[in-house]
Amino acid sequence: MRGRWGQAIGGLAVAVALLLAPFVLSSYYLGLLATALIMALFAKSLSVLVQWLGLPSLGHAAHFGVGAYAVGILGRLGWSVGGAGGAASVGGVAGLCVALLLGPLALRARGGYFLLATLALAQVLWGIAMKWIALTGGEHGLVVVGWAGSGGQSTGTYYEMAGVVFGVTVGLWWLLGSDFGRVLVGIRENETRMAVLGWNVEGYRYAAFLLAGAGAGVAGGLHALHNGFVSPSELSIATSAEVLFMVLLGEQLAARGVGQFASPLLGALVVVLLKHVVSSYTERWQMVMGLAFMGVLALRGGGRKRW
Amino acid sequence: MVRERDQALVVDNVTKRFGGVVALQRVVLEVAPGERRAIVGPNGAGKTTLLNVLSGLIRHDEGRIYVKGVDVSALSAARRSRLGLGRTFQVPNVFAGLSVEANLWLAAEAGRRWGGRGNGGVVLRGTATGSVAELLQMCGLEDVRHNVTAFLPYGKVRRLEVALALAARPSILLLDEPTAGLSEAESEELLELIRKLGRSVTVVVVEHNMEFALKLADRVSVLHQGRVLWEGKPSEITNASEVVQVYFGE
Amino acid sequence: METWAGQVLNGFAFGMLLFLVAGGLSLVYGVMRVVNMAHGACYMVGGFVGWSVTEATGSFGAALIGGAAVGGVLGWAVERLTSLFRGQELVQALVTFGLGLGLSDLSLVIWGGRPLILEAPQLLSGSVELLGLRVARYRLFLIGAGVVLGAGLWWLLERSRLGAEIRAAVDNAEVAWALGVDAPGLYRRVAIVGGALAGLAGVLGGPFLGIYRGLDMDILLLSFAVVIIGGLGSLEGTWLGSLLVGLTHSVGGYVWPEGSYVILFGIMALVVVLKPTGLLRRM
Repeated sequence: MRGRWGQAIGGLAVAVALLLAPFVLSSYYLGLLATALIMALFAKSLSVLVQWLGLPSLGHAAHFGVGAYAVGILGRLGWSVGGAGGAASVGGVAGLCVALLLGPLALRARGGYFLLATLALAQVLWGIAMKWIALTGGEHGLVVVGWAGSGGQSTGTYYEMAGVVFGVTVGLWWLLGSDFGRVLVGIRENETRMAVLGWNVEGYRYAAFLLAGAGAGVAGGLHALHNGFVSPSELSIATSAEVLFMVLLGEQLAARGVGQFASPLLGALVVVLLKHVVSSYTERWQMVMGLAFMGVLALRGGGRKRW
Repeated sequence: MVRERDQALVVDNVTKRFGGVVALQRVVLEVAPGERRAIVGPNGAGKTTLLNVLSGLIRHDEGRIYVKGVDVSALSAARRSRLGLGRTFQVPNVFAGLSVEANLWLAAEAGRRWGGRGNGGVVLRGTATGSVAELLQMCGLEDVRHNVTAFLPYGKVRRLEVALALAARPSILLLDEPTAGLSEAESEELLELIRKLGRSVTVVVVEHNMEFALKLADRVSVLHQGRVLWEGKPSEITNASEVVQVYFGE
Repeated sequence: METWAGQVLNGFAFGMLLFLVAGGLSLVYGVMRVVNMAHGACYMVGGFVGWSVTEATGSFGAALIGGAAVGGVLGWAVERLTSLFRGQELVQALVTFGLGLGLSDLSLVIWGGRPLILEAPQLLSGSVELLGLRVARYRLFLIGAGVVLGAGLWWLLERSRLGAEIRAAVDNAEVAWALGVDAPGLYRRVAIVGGALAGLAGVLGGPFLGIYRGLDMDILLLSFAVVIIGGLGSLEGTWLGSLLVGLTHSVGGYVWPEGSYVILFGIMALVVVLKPTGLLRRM
């Protein structure tokens, strides 16, 4: 239980830092921080699949994108989601629905097949978003009446955003530290033994997948609000690749001392900053990421691997 | 049928083929509640296959299996386990990356949720943590409770293997060559442990170690080339010519 | 021109093209157990190279050779890269994915972001009267090329030494190595062949689909749909899957343009649920 207390204190420190951020950062950087927070939640939701189930998905953008579109489409139909909490809820439910649908399909696959399946399923959703113009606005996307104004991030909306992200993350922390999390660890460590002990392995896997999908959906909903705009790129392979990169980078950080729980969050922060810096010098962000992707995988080297 | 309901375990003409090889041929077995049954036989007789088929890790091709009167032939390993069937593995199949305590918790929590239902079963303290403590003591693992199992000596891992099976509170316990690699003294300890479990638990042991098997068992089944060659009391086995032939005649 | 018959023909032509691409993917997986996520990029780069060659020399034949050659080189690169992570299926796939991302962006740098048009040679352009219908010559060419290459692949697998080694490795890798099949050498050859097929297909597909940013992912998705439906590692399955995907994508897209992806999703979902290893998977 010592580890949990340490994490709780760390979490409190982060909360304090987030509270103080508006006094330290300009509104431009505050907006960047908000983006980082949203991505952090996105990455954390994926890490449930990668670190807890050993299933690195290349299609996690599916839940994120549908969550974002849910907010956008509702707005288009005239229903305002009302603030970060509303966006998070709408997105979360949408992400959950996608996970309900995709779970039975994706979870049947193992190894390379799983990567194939998740990528293909997400790409199909992307294709639908591109083609079903009546619903999604196609390539041109949807404008979301949100907070993205030319004046940069306002403090009030930042607090709302940060609060929701923090709250959901704490919820995840609690859940993963509970008996549920321990069972997931057992499944990851020795699936056969778990089955022989009587555990419903498929059921738990599905539940974890649903959790990951809902989390990503929440991030997507917030993203739509924060960005003020939703387009098929939210469902693209590039987005799935980026969030996976965040998790993989986080794993490397974890191997070098960063806490297990915080590693994907930190990975997200690093990638958001990196992308910001790289993008100001060159348009070749995708190439940089591709190379860095390979690099991070090469670094995996010895030690116990979860996948 | 009446007989399925009365018995703890009934194997009704089970056949298992691997390609062209027939591993189990119309095997018939009935184990009474609380009985200690030993299944012996030379290498390749099909003993481990029988255990895998019983526990549900492998699907059999023909025949039926009844656990406490329930036809489990189509049920998954997890479902069978929840009916009260537990097992150990010949090669320890533990959670290598976790501590001994964490290992036991997973089994004990399973035992808490669906163990000991209905009649009998391994009796442990009510809560998961409580039964973990009890098992650590029972199986001599207290001194290594926080150790990661990947770094434990073989003897301790073997004990953990048994403890895991017990933690799930099975009413029928299948043991796969539990004395493999154990010393004389350790085998005696294991024998004592099983004796202490009492008659609320049915125990089926697959063994190579004839001495251990005969000491433990109420009845012995001899498997040879996938068939039950002979069955009877331990005291009768030395007179069974077929068994002697199979063990010494080759 | 865009009548029902035209769409069906279109579907067949598309199916043949997909067969070439997915075939390479399937072979590489069958032998090396690697899911090559850079395969779509091989196709696209092959197409881009083919365009450059036609721009420079005016020869379609040279473009085909160029595309295949570059594809082969990329295939070799994939083999070398994945050999660093032998036995780790997921890592290998992800590494090829990173490579694909890099290649995709690199081609943006080299060829720019505008879609390019690869002109078919005079001989193969225009249309022809067939059974009272006007059909595009190039589509007929694609179908023909697909059948010829398909037969060639079949011959390679069934009659050649390389084919025997491939079949042995696909059926039972351990036995194959024990019998003396040189694994690294085989991997290299299969990867090169697979890449060359993709590159060649990229050139062949140029006049048919065009060459544009994002083509790599489009092709990758469709190839994946083919192997998911037909089964990884089975040539017959790839053939069947390609025709199925090609036809439904063409005809479906004609009937319900917004829903072409929905149809694809539906088929994939059905197959994954009912027969997870694919319709004709041999292993």
